[in-house]
Amino acid sequence: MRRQLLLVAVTLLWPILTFAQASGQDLRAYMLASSCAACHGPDGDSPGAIPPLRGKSPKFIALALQEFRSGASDSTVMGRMAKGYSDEEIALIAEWYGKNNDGTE
Amino acid sequence: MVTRREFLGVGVAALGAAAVGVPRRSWSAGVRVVVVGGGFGGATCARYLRRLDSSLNVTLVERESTFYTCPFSNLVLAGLRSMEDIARDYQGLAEKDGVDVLPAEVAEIDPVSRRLTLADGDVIEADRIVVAPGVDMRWDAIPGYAASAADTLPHAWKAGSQTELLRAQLGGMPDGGVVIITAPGNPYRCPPGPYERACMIAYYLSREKPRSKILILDAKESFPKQGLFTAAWDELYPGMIEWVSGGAGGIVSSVDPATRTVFTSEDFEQHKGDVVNFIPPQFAAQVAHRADLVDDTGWCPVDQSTFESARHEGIHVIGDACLAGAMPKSGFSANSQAKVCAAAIVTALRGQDLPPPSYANTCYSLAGPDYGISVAAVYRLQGGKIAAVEGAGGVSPSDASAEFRSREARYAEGWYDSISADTWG
Repeated sequence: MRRQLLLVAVTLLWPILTFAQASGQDLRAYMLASSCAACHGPDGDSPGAIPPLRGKSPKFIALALQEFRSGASDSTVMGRMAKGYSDEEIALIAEWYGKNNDGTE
Repeated sequence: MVTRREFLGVGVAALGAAAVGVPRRSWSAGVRVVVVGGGFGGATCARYLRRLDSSLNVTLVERESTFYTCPFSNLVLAGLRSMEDIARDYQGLAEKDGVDVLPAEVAEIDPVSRRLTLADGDVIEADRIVVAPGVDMRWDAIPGYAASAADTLPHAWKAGSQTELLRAQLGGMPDGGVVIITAPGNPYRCPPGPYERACMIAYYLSREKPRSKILILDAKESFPKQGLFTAAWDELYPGMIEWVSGGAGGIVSSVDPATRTVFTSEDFEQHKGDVVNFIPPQFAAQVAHRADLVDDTGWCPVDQSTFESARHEGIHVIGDACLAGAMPKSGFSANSQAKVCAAAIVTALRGQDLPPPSYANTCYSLAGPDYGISVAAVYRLQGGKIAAVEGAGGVSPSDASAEFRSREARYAEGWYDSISADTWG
């Protein structure tokens, strides 16, 4: 009986918990990724000379950031910026901008 | 007579009713956030508040219908950009982002009741207020440099008519003349700005009036990107720019606007300029002082994770006016702080936790049209203070190729285009 009650409670709470978590995680990604927009444009849609993030896949963005960070890819400022982010943070940023990926990379 | 306050009240009530039956949204429906100031900080915050929660009522109060950006205003002095190029308006915020843009001047902010009184006497009530007023000049700091002195010795540290005045004075000066730039002690708006300005004025002079000189009288012993700037001066404008540090006699003791004379070394030395670009010490804009948001430093102390005032609950201060740890007073910093602040307000209204804040800044400076240099940093909260992440950031390499400098110049332009779109839509 107690076990059943617990199950009911878990079932009822499940959507609420996942929403709260997803929302918190989204905000965490927002917090990291929104900085990029100052140079790469709102939603990564760069209107000028800086390469856009919009349309790139999460995989492409994550790899680019990792290679800038390690120095494997040459850059002007991105090497300096990417060193400020962990692997996990890079993944969150990549996912944030990559969600608008149109599949072309 | 329906006052603006009553009118707003009706709007809030109507929105509240509309939100009934949508419980996920009801936590913030009817809540009004008023943003004071439509620069890089205020406009970004208004926009991102609406993007994070479209049920929020966001009012942006800004007295000017056109905002001239300080970034790239030095290029106007060089003749590389027009005033139109650096003009921004609020149409995008109003039409695309649903921000209620109110063209008015804020006279007073009551930080306890969170009530704003406009210059025309109207009153607005807010649940939260974001104060992003920028800086004002300290007219009492240097004897001789009162507000009226800026008509003769422009500071041009707020873009607009001051930029045009300085440009006109440069146009009118003789070849072989002297331009004096005075640079204040820290902190002040745009730390690398005076040195980029020297470059852009030198660019103009080297083409139009090549026998002229630029003298920078500095209150400081060093300045940002110093090695890069001095190398660029030698390379692009050899012999034209002289920098005098505070210890070497650069500290200004007084000024005589009538004769365009700047006195240093306790008035024992004097320098006469054909043009004097006098950049005085600054503090948080006056409206923040009147709202009791300023401490004895002249700036606004805040909780550096939420930008909520350390002095008054429910009032946030962002941009140049606030004390933001290691972050410089730049348009990029203001834009970055605005996004953190928007998240802090939305999570506070929802009773959620704010994720660990993350901030960034990149300051590009143009030494010439094809010669860009930058300083960058990523910031996190450490022990309640905003601190730069160790091992990240830093300045452009000193041994970079001409191609690298040229790329950074293009990226400076790209940054300007992007942050403009990110801030004003």
